[in-house]
Amino acid sequence: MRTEALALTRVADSNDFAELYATHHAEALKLAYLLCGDPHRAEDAVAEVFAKVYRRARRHTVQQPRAYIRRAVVNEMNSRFRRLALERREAGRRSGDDRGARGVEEQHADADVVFTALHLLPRRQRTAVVLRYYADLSEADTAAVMGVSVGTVKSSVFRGLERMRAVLGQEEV
Amino acid sequence: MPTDMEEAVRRSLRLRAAGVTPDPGTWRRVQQRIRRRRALGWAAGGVVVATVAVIATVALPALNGRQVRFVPPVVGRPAPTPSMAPDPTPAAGSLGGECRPQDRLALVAATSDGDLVATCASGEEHPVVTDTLESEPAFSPDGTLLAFTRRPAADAPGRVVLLDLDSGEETDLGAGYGPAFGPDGQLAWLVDQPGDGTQPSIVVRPEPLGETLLQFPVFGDPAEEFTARHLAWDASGERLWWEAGFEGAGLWTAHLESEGPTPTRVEVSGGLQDSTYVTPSPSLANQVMVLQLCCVVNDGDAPLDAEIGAMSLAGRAVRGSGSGEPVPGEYQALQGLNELPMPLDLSGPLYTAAAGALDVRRDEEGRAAAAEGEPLWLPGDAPAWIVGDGNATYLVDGYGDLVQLEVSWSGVAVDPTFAPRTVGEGATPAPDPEPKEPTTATVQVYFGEEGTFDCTVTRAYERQVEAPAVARGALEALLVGPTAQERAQGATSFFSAETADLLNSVTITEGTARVDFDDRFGDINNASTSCGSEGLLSELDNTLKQFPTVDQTIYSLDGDVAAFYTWLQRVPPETAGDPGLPGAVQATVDPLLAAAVDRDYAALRELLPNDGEFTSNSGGRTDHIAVYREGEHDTDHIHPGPLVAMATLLGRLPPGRLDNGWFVWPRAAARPTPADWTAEERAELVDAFSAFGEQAVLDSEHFGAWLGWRVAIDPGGSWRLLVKGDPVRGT
Repeated sequence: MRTEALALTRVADSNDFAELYATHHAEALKLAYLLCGDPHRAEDAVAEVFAKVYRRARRHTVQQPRAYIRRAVVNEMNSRFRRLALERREAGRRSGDDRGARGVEEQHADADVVFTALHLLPRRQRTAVVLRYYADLSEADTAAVMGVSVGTVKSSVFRGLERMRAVLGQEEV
Repeated sequence: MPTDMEEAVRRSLRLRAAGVTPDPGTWRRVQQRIRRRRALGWAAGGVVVATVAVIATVALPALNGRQVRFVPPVVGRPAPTPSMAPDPTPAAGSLGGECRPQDRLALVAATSDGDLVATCASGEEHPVVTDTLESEPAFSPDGTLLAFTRRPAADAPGRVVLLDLDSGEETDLGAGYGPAFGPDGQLAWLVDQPGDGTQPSIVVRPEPLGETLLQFPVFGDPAEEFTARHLAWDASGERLWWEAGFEGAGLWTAHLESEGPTPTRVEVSGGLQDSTYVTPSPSLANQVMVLQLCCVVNDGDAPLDAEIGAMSLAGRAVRGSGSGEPVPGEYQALQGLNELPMPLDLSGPLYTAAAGALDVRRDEEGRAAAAEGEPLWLPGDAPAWIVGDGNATYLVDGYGDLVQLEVSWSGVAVDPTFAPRTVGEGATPAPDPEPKEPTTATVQVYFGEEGTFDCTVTRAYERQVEAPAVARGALEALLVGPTAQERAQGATSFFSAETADLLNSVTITEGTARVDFDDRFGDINNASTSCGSEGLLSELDNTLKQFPTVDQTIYSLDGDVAAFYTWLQRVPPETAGDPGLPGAVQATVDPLLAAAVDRDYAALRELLPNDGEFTSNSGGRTDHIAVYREGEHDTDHIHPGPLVAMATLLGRLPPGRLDNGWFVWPRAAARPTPADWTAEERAELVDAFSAFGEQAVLDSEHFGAWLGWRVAIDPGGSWRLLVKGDPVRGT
């Protein structure tokens, strides 16, 4: 299968990369969105991730592209300091405190208090929760993606859920 | 068995993820960024772009482990004085002579009409109109000579002409075109015999007016139709580069010490594919700067995918074996041209030039402009590279930005001795600024003592840290752990190289040092035992309390104070919430925080002040709590809902004081503008609001005020506001 071949060889040309992108973009975008809560920032981050993945894949064999991209997304979202110019450009599209009309679906989503509570968590806890409960990764795989120990994953998930309980109140969920 | 909470999280995440629709435009952005990422390797390589007003130095990426630097040569030729100025008659020999006494020649450009234009440092232009066609100007390294191509008509064979800029004297060097000066003043040019089947050749003279040393063909195997162009030297003066082949495709090189010399085609990896324009890196041998019009995606005549890059040779190619076999070269793109405001015209000639010394300034809107009258010289804006056609000229500046120059040239040469100067300064180059000595201070770090029964015993060890952030420096030094020698002498510690990068932030406010560590800090082995926690805290506390500004310490893991002390099985400091708050204020903070966490709107209503002096985003409504309840479901991409925000503010951030004495959270809200925020205040906003914070901070900086949620309590303990939006406009 073509995708499997990609897992074993370098991205030799633009067609290979396009296929890699087509295969993994949506999943990467969803993960990025869950980590940051903003679809525009998620798209921006994922574009950055694939640009980096391209460079990597041109030079080295990427054995497990899905896992590699997942980790790249997490790393990208953990990077707090984006290029200011890009952010300002994004900010410039907004005006005042009314930052554009929001769709019905988005408003519905904003009502999701669990999701809002998730984004009150510290970065590490939030990442661990998303990887465990959205990506359904094991604790070991989550640890590998985050670059931390399994113990840290356990404690991060535990603390994250505890904090969400505190914010939401157990009876609400 | 999964808990209800786990299931709720799963359900929520999947619901949200299902609503995400990929943007088809992202693929195009990825393609653009692939090129931009190459340029960003520039910064990622750890190379500092250091430009001073005298010497424009642009650092380029490391290629093959070597640092590539693009440094214009600096030769100490004094600026022309009135007595040095040649006769300003309207002839080629007057180039530069018309620049005024306090001015000087900066560059010479060839127009599409076949005339040369002298441009002075001030930006004044002086065209030199002739009956012949002049093009391809090239300065000698010392700036005293200008070589160019002259043709009687567009399709006539060219002649290479040498102009002495001081005397105005011209010398015809012979048939040829495309002259190029080497770093030591050598001159080479191309010679073509169109129509007679003879190969084009390259002429090399160690002295421009001396004897010809070498003349050799541009091809190993001549094609039936061929061209050669864009001759360039490398920084060593031992190698020439040019573009040659059918319709000019292909990069060729020759080491002048090789037998022949032998022209050798370069097989380039890394993306360089086709037609190129080459200029050498003046500082690095075996490397050239390349404008490539390869892989061009055309939209009409507009190149959408051209780029500038650096091409380096490696291995045997560097030594110049002269075998004639193709040699490998590695190309790395530096700057894509796909977003030019005015795309290059591919139907006409293009040109490039190293422009390290060109005086180009930006106006207040960031546009590049010729020097005259412009108010700003921004250090670091020194351009590195010029590329253009007959309609537009662009430069790549020291930041890698591509900006357009308001000039129209078909070829340009920049005087290598010209140094940019600030407005109002004389033309004499300023001396190099003296390097600043970093300010350091001696601090103590405290490590445990081997063999003691008291877990809290520590001993001081000296470290040098950078001032003024000495507390942070001391903690960073502490987290590295003892040296091997110190350990051999009995020092023990929980810290080592593995913990060296775990410090997030240090903030000292009113005698309290708040130290935030990365969550991985909680993985330190054996620190959570009774003795271990005492020892770890002793190392930390003693290191911090050596500073007279620190009386108390509060630690956290990724902003979570409770997490730190829970990990150590200790009780958090009582004042971890808001040390120093008046009792009346603290007495309001606590129930407000609890009500926010519990979403207890009834309790919140009880906490509203009795005097009616309360501000919310009510839009005139009097039921503030109802406004907040509705607002819980009206979050946006920037800010959370009001209660979540208040819980975050009161629970995690220290307050500031407004001019009227109110305590306000976040403390950044007490600053007149975001420009007044300290780095710590900015960082805590980003951290506190997690995913929202960074964008909220950027927006606020953009609009000049903290636009996020803020809560205030007056000194008497009355809750006064919970509001977001523009504090000036009151929205």
